[in-house]
Amino acid sequence: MLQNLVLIVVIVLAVFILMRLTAGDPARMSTPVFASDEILQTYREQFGTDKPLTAQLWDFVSGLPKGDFGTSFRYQEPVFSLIWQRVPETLLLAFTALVLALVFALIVGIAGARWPGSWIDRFGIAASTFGQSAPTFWIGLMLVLIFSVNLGWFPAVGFTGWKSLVLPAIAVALAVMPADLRVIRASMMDALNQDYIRTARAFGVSEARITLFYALRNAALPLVTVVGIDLGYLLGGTIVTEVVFNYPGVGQLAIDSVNARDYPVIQAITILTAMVFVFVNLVIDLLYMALDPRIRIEA
Amino acid sequence: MASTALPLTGDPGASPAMEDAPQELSWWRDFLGRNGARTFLIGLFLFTLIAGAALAAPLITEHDPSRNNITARLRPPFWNKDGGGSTEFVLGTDGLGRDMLSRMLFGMRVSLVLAVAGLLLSMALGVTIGLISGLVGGRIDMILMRLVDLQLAFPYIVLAMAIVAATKTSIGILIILLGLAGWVYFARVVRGVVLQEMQKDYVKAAQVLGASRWRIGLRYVLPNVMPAIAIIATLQLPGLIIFEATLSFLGLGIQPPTPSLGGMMLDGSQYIASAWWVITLPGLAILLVTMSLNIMSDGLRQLLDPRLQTV
Repeated sequence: MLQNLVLIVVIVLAVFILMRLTAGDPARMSTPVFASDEILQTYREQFGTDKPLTAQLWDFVSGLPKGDFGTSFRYQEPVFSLIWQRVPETLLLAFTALVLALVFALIVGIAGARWPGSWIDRFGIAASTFGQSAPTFWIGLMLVLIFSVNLGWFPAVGFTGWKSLVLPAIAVALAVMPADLRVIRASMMDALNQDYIRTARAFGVSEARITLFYALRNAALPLVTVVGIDLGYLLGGTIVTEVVFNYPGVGQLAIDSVNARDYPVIQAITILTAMVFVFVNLVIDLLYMALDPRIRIEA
Repeated sequence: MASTALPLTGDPGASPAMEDAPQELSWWRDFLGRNGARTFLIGLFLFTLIAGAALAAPLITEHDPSRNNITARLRPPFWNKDGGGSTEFVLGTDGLGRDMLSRMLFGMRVSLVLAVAGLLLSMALGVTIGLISGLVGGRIDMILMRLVDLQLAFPYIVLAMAIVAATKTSIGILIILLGLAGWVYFARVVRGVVLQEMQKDYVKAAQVLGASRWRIGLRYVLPNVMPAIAIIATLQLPGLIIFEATLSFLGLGIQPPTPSLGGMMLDGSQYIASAWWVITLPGLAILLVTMSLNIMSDGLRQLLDPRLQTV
């Protein structure tokens, strides 16, 4: 826990220093080239970038506990509400993609472990090789090309209902799925080769029950681990996919802010991502304890 | 792992013509007979083909990759004769009338050079940190490995975006970004192998003879880490190629006058409804190169990691 707090502090400091030391002057970015020095000065006062760096850092850090991440240079709005408006869409996309990836990986992974070399196993390996080898944004573009431009089944851009969710979710899911599938398949194979499975067979327990109950239970722990690792890919993939589909989420906001050099927004997104990351890892640690009694006893 | 189920591995010794091969070729026959050798060679062959074409780009195409030609905008590839395709622009042209094939070849060149540079940087960083972590141990090891865990799970692209926003995009920054993307895998595996090797008798013998920790690490342990490094390198390279393409697609990587595969797709995304080839072909090129590398690393893993052969 302490380590995680240290991590957040380090990220806050690093992001702040990186942004302020190396970047250009945001006042110049938001005014015309011929703006006079007085105009630039008023902009700087408004942004707070006229103060010394330590004072800016203090302003920033003292605002954090109150949820005040500063004001966006571009929108002149509190950064937090700017991001907060877009969180539901991003969460919806990330969650749908995760569910899609897990359902696919579970079905194909279990079947592949049960019948190695079967057509479903081969299909799973081909799909995960594809998902691993193709850039996520390109998969997104191809989905648009096939299903929006040529077939017209789904909208290509924006967010207008569940139909807008299908293609981006598939694109993100394909980025996350290969790791899931490989872990599920390997741990299921491992579990199916254990002695207790043979014992269960000897006792006449049905194959379906053995696979879906006895073996899957023991394959659950690696699955939880891989979902934790997925998180990074999930958020990364979501950002890129949002850009492809012009999907109104946090990732789109992040890219726009990078291009507009809107530091407060990028700063806040980076820090909030770190917090989400720390939180989810905490949940995963707790899930571990719930799933595996051995860890509970050690701790 | 899953690799054994790939249909690419031929049956070793299936070719009867090999039986009467001359004596000098016997090492080659032994090599071919080993698990994963053929997979590795197929991947290597494909990769060499693509990389060779990219490096020989000026010989293959006579079109300048960055010359606009407004009269020949968005020409389809040659097989689409009705749409105006011709063998003058074999794979068509983009929105500014630039030749797709030469842009792809030159873009691939940039991608490969950057990815390899990034790979070397992450290798140097990762191997150094892994060695330190494994040899020194204790608190330093703990801190370094925490850092590794952190980067493995944190969405690196968010960090990369923050860095690009703060600095100007340049080739140097891009290489550093790519280098920082991949070091963790090297560090983690090198540390693991070092810890394993340190338990072995030859290390103990060296210790008895009075060799220092660093001498043992560099002279005796490092060579044993090499197979692992080779495997991770082939695993990492496709990831770095994809990462570079993604950055360029987001407008954060290679900047416009220089052709890049990601940048081509960024330009092409506005013609998605009218010119499928502008976005499709660069992605296919990336897919080809990453797949060839993945096949190669599958084979290499089977060749170098005997534990996997039983799976």
